[in-house]
Amino acid sequence: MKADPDDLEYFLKIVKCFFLNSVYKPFWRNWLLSDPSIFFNPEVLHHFHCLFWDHDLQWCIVLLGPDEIDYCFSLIQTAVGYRSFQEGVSKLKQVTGHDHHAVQRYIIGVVVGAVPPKFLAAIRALLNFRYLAQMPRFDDNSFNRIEAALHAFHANKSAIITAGSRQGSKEPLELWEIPKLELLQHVVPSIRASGAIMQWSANVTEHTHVTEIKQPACSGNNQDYYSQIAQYLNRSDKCFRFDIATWLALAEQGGPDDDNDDECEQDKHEPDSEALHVSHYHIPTRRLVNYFETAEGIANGVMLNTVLPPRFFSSSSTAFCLTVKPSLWVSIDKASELYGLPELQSAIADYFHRIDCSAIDFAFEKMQTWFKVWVQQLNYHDQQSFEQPQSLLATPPSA
Amino acid sequence: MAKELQLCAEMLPSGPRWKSHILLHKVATKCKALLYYCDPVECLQSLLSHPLFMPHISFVPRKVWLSSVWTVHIYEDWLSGDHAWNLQASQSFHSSYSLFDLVKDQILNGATLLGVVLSSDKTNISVMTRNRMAHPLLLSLANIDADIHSQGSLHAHLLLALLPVISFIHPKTCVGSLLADCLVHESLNFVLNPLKVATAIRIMMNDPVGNLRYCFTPLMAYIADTLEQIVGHQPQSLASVNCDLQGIQ
Repeated sequence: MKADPDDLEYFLKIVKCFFLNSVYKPFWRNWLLSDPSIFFNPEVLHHFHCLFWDHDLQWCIVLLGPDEIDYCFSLIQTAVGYRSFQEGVSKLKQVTGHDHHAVQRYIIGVVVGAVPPKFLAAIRALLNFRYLAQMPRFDDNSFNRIEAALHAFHANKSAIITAGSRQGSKEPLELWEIPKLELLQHVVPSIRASGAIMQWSANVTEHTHVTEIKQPACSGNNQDYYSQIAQYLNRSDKCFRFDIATWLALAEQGGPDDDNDDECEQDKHEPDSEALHVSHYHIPTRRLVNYFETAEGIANGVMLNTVLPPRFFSSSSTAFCLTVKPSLWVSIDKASELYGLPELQSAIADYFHRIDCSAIDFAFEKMQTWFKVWVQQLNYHDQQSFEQPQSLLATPPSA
Repeated sequence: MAKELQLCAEMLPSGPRWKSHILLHKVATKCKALLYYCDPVECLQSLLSHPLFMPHISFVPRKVWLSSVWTVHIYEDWLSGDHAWNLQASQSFHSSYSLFDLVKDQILNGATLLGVVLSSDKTNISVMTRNRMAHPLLLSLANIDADIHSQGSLHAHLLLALLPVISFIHPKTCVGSLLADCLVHESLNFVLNPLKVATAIRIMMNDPVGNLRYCFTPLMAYIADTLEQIVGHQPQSLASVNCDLQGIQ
């Protein structure tokens, strides 16, 4: 079939027959060595997280019912610093990437028991796939795990249709026409060709939109956005180059009058020339606390420890830190009353029994209790490095 | 005093400057298709000679193995991937381009591979006033270490162009969207042409320590939200076929 692209309506008709979108001169034509099958990498933010939100979560909502799933989400005990969903998830609008992450953390715990086992297996397999594909470093073993996860989904996906939770606009769908799902099978080849896919995340570019588009646009008078943005960027580039030249010159001088110059700069520059100062380009060097090292030092007696029991201790994968002063110093009976835990005494006895300290004497009067504990774990993907410590809160209900 | 300071600032070598270009179209539009852009080669050069990225730029594709017996191959950043290696080594590379074989022998001996990373996505400028959209095109360099160019605050993505967002005056909306898609590709083609030329005939660029390098600049990654719009076909039909096939396997 032939159609002239200038004859717009006929051309469009022909193009539709082949499911093409009618761009007959793609921008990458004549660009040597650039292959669309390679340079279109899977993208974490839009392809993974949106797939979860638009499909996985909707399947669960349809199966459980919006009210039930909202109630379950409102019951979740969240760790400090994580998003909680007091109002549920089924009616959320304008969800951010962070919300997508948070819901993915909780979804298995929310639906387990209420859905058929195969349905759960399919959801879990997709979650596994997504988490594995975000690794920073891959080898053949990890590729096998990623592919196994995707296969596990395809093996169990029929349960989702059977449960009738793949809902179209009118009736339940029985097809798997999900473009984003199709993209998942390109993840492994893409990693082999271009490296870890996290480096192509749209998070960064969305952030760049804020600094390069939105801030310049807001500083103008809301007319002729494009030309004003261009002007703004021209000027800020000049300022940046000037800043960097003075900074380099200063570094060469050895900067004996460092402090003076800093003050002058602050006088000259309005504070609103944000993000252009050279200091912003320094690689942030946030020092990571290492509880493992401290705990090991205390355990080996290298580090002098004044308080007992030690406030730092660790297992092979997790380290804990407590404040020197306990939050409470009360008897077991009092504590069980305070926390509303009637079985506290027997639980403690059971614990001591398990770790083989049956000879323990329960005659002690008071027990130290902490409301807050800092927990640090090893990086999941790189066992040589650590995550940031997380704090856990456990205040008694009355407090 | 202020003038002197400005003169000092103007004395410095200039970075990429913004230009504008009017795209002409047969079909009437509501306003002029005005394209604002920078020269992509200048932008690449400004990334490449950025003094603060200096310790974080590498040029040599590599293969990483876990042990000396070459059994476990590790994939990390772009330069450790197979594609970069194949481009540089110009061996055992399967490409559908017939031109490729012609060029690869001439191009790749001793030339430095610069991986171009582009991204485009429509974004809202201001919700308050008339819901204006901008369609920015960003440029980055895959040779910059992944942890550096994935940090938003370090400005490793430069704004390369502001693509026109205009509506066409045509009775049928689907024809309008066809024209809009074509316009996006046309403006991308216009802006990126210097990079295509640089890939074909190579180009001399300054590297971070001031040496000259003979570079070629293929496109290595395109980060896009609406793949369907850019790629040129609607993947729905393919998607269903592939998913079902995989299920059968």
